[in-house]
Amino acid sequence: MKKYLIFTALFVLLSSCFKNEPTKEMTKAAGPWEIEEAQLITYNLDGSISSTQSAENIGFLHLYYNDKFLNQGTFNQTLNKSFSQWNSNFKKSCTTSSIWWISVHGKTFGFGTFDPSTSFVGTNKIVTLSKFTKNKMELVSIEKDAQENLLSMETWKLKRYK
Amino acid sequence: MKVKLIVLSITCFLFKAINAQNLQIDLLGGASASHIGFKGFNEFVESYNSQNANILKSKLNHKPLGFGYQVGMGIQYSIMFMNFTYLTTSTVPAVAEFNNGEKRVYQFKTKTLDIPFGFTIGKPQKTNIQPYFAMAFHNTNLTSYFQYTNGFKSYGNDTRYSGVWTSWKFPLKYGVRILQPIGKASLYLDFNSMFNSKTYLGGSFDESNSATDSRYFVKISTQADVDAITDGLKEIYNTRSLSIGLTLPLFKTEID
Repeated sequence: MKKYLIFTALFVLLSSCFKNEPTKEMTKAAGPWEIEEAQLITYNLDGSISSTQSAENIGFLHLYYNDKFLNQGTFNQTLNKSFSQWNSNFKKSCTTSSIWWISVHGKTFGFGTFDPSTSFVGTNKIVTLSKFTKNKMELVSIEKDAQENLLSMETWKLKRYK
Repeated sequence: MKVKLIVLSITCFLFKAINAQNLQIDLLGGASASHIGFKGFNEFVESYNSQNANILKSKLNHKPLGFGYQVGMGIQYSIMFMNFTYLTTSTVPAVAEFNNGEKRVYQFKTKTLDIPFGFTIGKPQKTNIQPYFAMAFHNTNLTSYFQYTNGFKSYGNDTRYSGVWTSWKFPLKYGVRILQPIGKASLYLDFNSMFNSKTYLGGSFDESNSATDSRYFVKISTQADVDAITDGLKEIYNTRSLSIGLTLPLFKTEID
């Protein structure tokens, strides 16, 4: 009996080394999130900060993990009226997208569109997941100009909505 | 056919061993060094350095040597043995620094579950040798990020080479282990290598993270080279590992 238990324990231990990581990350992120704060920093050409603006209690992001084959999901968002003044490419990418995904290892968060007739996935924006726990998520979007100079860095701080 | 024979042998071995009287189960663990041979990526590095020569303060310097650890369990029945080992490796990050202080960083990470199957030459009480063949589940990830002068590491599509590329393959391996008993434990030195096989680095994870993006591993000398590959780069790569560690007996039945 003892040897069967040892076998089972070691197999479980070894098999846990190979979890399906995209599925794990997507499952972790799925559900409702409250966008607590957004911060936009713009930069001068010399790399110094030009301006900083922020907004709080922006709204909600509901992530549905409904395509486990392609490892992507649909989402909807509720943005408060106060956030209507916020003007950024990141917000635009988010509002014109219908699907989301998280890369293996949870390093990036993607927004895009999906055409079911051709199964074509259009990528609108891929941002960095600078913080990603079960209850906190931080998305950072970078904008650059045509000469590759840093224009702005936008951070959205999200909290799990319960 | 080869895989089927190995699977059949492993199944017979397990069936026989688990009911045997002279069975030994070991725990093993140690440190490892691996060579991750990736010809296509080396070509990419050369072309990247050449294309960006006038804006680079220090060139991308990729060394295909990684370090990690190995843990697992071993089952011995008579002179036959079978192990289940988990091996992880990370290469030293390859960093290119630009004149303005920004950086581009690449790092390979691999995870392998090896199932070696072989026999022992020599007596267990003395130095003995274990040649083996192995089946493996092998995962390679290439992480690339861009570091801005404010220290922020971006994995997003604000730069074209950032992201995490991943691939899975199931190679056959061969290797040899040398064991030196020290009391109840044994010191081991293990070398193994993959048979060459082609695989896509990129897999089929999704549009933005995989196949279409893996074109970036081809040399970037001309746009035509980039456009030519749209289904991902099929690359031959090989990993060779050398591990050193200890095996400790966990369970042992009386010998018949």
